[in-house]
Amino acid sequence: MHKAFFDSMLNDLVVDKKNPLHVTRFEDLIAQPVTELEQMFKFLLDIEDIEGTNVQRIIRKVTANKDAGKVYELKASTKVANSQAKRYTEAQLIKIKEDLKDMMHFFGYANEFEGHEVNRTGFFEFPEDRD
Amino acid sequence: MGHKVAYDSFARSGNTFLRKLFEQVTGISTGSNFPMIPATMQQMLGMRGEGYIDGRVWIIKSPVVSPGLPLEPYSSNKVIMCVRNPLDVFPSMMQLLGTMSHSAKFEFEVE
Repeated sequence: MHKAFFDSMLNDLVVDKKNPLHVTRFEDLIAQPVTELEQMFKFLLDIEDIEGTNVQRIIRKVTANKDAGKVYELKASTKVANSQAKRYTEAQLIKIKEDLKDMMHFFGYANEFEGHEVNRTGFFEFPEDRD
Repeated sequence: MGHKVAYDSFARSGNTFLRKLFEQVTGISTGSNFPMIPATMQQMLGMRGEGYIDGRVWIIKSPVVSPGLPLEPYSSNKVIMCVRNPLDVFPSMMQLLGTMSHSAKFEFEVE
């Protein structure tokens, strides 16, 4: 279902261009909320420069609050990258890597090897990427 | 801002977290096309636009994992998506379905 969802979304929104699409990652939203929200509102409001705007001021004010975005207490494990990987069997991990290989690369969850910038969300290694 | 924005993300990818940020920045409730009965959990968290797709809301969440649920169709002119490491998504979904709560944790360790 996970793979089918992303295949369907990318086909409808990117290939067929039915709606412009903006993607953010949860890990980035937690790590750098101001940057991610500013990018998102530039997309939503059709503006190229958000510098000095009222929405930028509000984004910075909202995210300065440590409870920003919270409607409930985030679990401690939510803030730890890849904390749930231990719950999967080797066979499950192999299956997930096989099915979601393209998406892992596209969304930045594949490990980059030598010569690339360090990817802090490179949770999955694909040895063939060394070639 | 007269058009609608569809917020299409896989469940447990930070949807409610990002919706709350949108609401705090814009002052406008985010909606969803979720049927009202399962939407109650979100309403109890203060998501006042849950279940609405009309002019009262701008950004509308569409649930993806909703087998058998009747989802109200609506039109949008932009789409936003939040993605998350899938290895974190599924245990999070297990916690939600097992506790029917966004914040509760199991009182035991899951093997």
